Amino acid sequence: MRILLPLLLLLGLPVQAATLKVAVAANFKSTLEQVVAAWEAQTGNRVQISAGATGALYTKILHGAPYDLFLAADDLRPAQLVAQGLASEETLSDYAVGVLAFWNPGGLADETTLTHWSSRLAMANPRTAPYGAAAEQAAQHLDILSKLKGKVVRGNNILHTFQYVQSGNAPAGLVSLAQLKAAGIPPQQYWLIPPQWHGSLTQQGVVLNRSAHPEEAGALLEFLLAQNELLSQAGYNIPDDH
Amino acid sequence: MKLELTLQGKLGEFGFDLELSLPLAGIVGLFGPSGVGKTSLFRALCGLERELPGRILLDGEVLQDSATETFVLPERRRIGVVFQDSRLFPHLTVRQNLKLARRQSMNPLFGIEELAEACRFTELLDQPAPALSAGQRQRVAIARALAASPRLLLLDEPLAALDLSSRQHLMGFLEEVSARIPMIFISHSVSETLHLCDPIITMSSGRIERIGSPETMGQYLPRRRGHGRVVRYDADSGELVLQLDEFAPDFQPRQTVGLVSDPAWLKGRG
Amino acid sequence: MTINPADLEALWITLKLAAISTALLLLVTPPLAWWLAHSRARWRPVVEALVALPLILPPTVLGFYLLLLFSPLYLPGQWIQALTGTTLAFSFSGLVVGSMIYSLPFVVQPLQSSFATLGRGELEAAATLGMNKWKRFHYVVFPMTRHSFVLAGMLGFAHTLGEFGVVLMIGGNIPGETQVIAIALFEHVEALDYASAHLLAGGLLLISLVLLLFIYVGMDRRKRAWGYW
Repeated sequence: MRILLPLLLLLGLPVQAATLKVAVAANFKSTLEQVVAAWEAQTGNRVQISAGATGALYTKILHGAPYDLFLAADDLRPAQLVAQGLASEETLSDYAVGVLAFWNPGGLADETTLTHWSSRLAMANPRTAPYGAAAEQAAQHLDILSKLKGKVVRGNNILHTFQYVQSGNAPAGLVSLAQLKAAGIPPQQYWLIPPQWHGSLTQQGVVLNRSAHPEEAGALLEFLLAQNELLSQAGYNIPDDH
Repeated sequence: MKLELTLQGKLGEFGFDLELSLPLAGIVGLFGPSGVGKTSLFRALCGLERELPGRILLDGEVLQDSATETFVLPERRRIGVVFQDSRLFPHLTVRQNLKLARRQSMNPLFGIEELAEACRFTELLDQPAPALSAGQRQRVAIARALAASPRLLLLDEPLAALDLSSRQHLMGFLEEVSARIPMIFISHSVSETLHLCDPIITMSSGRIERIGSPETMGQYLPRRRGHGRVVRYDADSGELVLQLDEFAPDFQPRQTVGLVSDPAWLKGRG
Repeated sequence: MTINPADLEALWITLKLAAISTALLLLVTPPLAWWLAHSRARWRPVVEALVALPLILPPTVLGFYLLLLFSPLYLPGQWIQALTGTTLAFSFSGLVVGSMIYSLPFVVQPLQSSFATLGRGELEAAATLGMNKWKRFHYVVFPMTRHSFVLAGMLGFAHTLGEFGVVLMIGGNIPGETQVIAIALFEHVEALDYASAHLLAGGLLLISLVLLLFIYVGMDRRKRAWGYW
């Protein structure tokens, strides 16, 4: 400690400050970065962000990846981690609700257009992405799936799906509102799918039990839960209990 | 058939200034020490050397003319080559090597069995090419070049790897074939050249030195090796009188001379 | 435990994709490999680097640029559409194009190195016997470098078999058209369906093993018959 202390002072780090490792679903990364910038300035703590697919991050955590906080894109994986004793139940909370949108860059974006859609339509893979599952449910609700058989192109995640439409290879797709806002797409190009047409797109976060800084991690999650304005600007709905 | 050529320029650091105009019939000898450009001249003739500027005419046909950027590809020149390193196709048998060559000719002059017999490798016909010894390969390479029925054949030391009896046999065969296909022959052996070739061309560093019949050229060829017949020998005094052959070197009094009695390279000669 | 029909279909598509891409590559790339092996052009290293690029470029990045290339919003995609009437993205033909680019270095490099070590001697001899360049390739170059064609085909096939990133981007995961085995496998793993994943992975392993065995046994026999390759 006699050697370590001056070394830390030399580096200009406050001795109390913690460095948090946060695993975040790729779709929420840019929003989290804004939140983290404010929190770091306020507390002096540091945050390292690892973004990835929710499923992949979950698997890594199962096998001992050293994260403090897990921000998933669904409300399944965090609960599973709690059930497996890898995350703390009292910190489990809904931090945002995703919004699914029908994006049609080349024409009208409304319910009628989607109902009568007959060319290629990009969606995320329902087996691997929550937005994919939601998109499939919405399509079932409109009863257009059988008509679109062979025309649905599936992105592995919601980012690929967005790229399919953005690059013009698919004329339209079911993507997330957050992506549309981040890319500055004009609102007349998209139509928000009513949330009751599909299952929950609630995103849950949880502090992991192997965290070395559980208090700081909990504080960051609390801080995130208070950012209602930022979240709705970014294209997320606010969970009911906020 | 007439060959006219003018080649002037450099290959790397080596300068050439070649001018030649001669009728091709029988076997023309090309003689000179290593590194004077004999092989490069061959390569230019058959079209494997593009970098040497100049003009080559065979039988009035322009094979190369740098002035008009004419260059006939080797496969269209019908000039056969027997390379120093026989270059058989290693994935084929001897027979397949000959067949492939023969197929390139519209009207082949020789049959495969005929060539195999003449060059004495009938028993090797179905061997894979890489299984042959250097001397056997060289014989097959000569036969393969003839199988394609070229209008002119270039031979680059084709007999170097052969033993004396095969060498003499093949010299006879080449002499006979040269009545139908003219040849140019590179050899380092003075006796081979003098026996087989007429006329003989000597080269020195990138230039043609002389052209002439074997009778007139004999004096210009370096004579380092000859043989002689013992006329008189006195074991007590050590005095030896020899009758030398026509290729033997000239000697000076007090010169040191090495002797080998009954050397291997003279076996079979009378 | 039986393999489900969708996975069987993915397997069939994968084998078809690997076979077609490899066959096309073996037809198209020998002249390129020959040029790379023998050209003294100053910009040859540039072409060589471009050919090797798929080795370094992350497949998803390659896939993303292919997506842009195929896009009807830009000129190349518009030409393709004018020429074929369809777009290449999300189609089997698109996957073939993508796989050919992706596996290009694996086919070109073995050919290039064997062409480079092929002596000029036999080719010069062939030329003086009257064979033009096509005949020289057919009768001399190809048989003498046959083993490298086998190797190139093998590598190209195997590499395409495991292709994932490019297909992920340009395939659109359409069952029966662009859903290859690596995608199906990935999907099973992501969906935590480990039983199907193991079955599929095991099947892929078995096919690859059998394939390699065939090739090695064949090579061995040839070696014994000829004493050389």
